[in-house]
Amino acid sequence: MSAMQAPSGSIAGLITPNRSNAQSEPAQLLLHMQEGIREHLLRSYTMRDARERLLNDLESLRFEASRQGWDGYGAEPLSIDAYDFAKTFIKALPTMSPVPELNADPDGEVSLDWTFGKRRALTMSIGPTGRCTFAWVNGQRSNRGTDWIEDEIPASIVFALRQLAPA
Amino acid sequence: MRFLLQLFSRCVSWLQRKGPRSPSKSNPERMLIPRVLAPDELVTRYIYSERNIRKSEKRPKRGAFDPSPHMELSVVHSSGLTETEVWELGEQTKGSTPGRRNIYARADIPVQTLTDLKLRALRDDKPFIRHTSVIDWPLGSDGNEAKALWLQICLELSEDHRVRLEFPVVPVVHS
Repeated sequence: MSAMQAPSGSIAGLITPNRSNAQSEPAQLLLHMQEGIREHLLRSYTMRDARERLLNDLESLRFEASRQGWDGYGAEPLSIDAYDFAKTFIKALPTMSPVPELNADPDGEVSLDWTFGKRRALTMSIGPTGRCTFAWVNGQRSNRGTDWIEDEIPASIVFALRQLAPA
Repeated sequence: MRFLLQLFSRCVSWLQRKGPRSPSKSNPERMLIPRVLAPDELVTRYIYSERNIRKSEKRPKRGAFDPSPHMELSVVHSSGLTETEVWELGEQTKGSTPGRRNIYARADIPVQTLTDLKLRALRDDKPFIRHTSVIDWPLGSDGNEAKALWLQICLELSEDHRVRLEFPVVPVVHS
């Protein structure tokens, strides 16, 4: 997986704008180089296409799940705040990260599902406060937890994807 | 809440043991007293949202089993029904509630898979005969933990190959 270690210890995608405020000459040089890579990737059709498809799907989901009871079982409408956090998350996904499938939870959160074969799956929900709840199974092992979305992908999600995604 | 459900369940068991009011085994459709289904029974979840199925692998996604926002999963008791009867029962649910226009698939869930996850299937026959609620979803220590626990349970159900996804021969569409 191609990803960058951000100063805070969590992981950011190559497309995520760098928010470093370092002023030293080497830091400025690195920043300049990263910006060049970022612009190159954004111009790349493949990268842009995958990201744009996910963002378009998120937009469709917002429409599909906009009404009370959209799932036939009394679901809450999709939360706009959860939608905004999901958008931030998708934009920050590591460049070569596996692409999730999107859905809405009946409590109004946005869900993202990754599957990698028999009993190898990760699911997460993004709530209106930026809370990110997740669970994964990997053979007989499984785990769950809660993290928070800021500008970067939570380290717990990156860890789970690294465990599950084929090398 | 759990205490009340346990109390309720015990009352039901007691009433069933009493005999005269227990339902006739020859006509299970007359059973109107809620009862907990045994592990060898089968329940079915109708799926009205296409996003809750993974067609390529013929698997339900974990969203198909999410008990929020009511903390229970609405299913039907499908043991003993023919394939046609199960779809006919689904047909009757269409249009009854917003969002029930199409049935894209159904997930057949052995009750054993639920009891393995410490859930129970309570056949309550409300709002229609054979309606069943999957209850006892864990509360955790707070809302965050409850949500994570539910995700894990739903993911286990979606990955459990004893749970089978069935598609209608002709899409079931509400006219």
